[in-house]
Amino acid sequence: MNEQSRRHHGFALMLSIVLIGLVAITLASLGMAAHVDAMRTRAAAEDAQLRQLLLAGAQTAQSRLAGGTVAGSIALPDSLASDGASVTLTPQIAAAAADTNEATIQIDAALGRRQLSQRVHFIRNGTAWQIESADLAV
Amino acid sequence: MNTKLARQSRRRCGYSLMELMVSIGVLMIAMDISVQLGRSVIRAGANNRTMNDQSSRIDAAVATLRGDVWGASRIDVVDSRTVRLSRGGALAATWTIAADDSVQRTDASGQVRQWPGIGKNWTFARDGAALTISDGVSQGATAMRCVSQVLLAGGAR
Repeated sequence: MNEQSRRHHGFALMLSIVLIGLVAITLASLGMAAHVDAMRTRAAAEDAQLRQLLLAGAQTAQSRLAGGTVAGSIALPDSLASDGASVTLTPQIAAAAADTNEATIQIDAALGRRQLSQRVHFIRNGTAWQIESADLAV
Repeated sequence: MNTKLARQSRRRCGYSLMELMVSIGVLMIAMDISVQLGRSVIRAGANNRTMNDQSSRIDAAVATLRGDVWGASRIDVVDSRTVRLSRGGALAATWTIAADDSVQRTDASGQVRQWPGIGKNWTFARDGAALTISDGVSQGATAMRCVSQVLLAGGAR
């Protein structure tokens, strides 16, 4: 009788281990899916912020071109700076000379470990500079 | 006395019909639960893979579309499923949602790139200096919006 009882316990134990294993695999799979989804959402939000920083960088580059000195980083609000955000302008084709009518500026935006950059080509239109083309680095 | 004990012992060697039926019933329920659980695990795994594949395709298509729109000097929404993007006065790329729900990009040289099965209910619309993509579920602020840097700086055309 004891032997039979032990045999029954063994079967129940095996069945419970299999069921617990299946539940664990399901939970792990669901957890993984939720984690991937959360990471994707976060990456999308950071990319949107980076694109906003690039737009701000292009605006600043346009106004700095009129002044002559373009290179350097731009001042950002404290809330962004504390998150590790930065925007740097690097002229690719010199535009400081008064007789130059074209300029290409590389704009690099960073937010924490994520980075996005664009290359903007400006042309002079009278006294103002306007964007001729822009290439987002994918 | 000995005969009585021997009879009892003989009786304990087997199971009654009721015991067998209950055991088989419990066993069947347990097996049914484990089979259904197993199927759910397999289905959840397959769904995860499908979702991941589709997410990757959507991300790749949207990143490419965003890059095209970013540098576009002109956005022409031909109809809700076709948009033409121009750069510097020349056509740069045409994006189309095909009848089989695939998203297609045809560049100026005629080269076609295709992302299958992601464009179900997608529609294009122009919104100032941006191209809005709606999937029929996300509306207004939650629809995807791709901005043109050129149009934003120079004024929407």
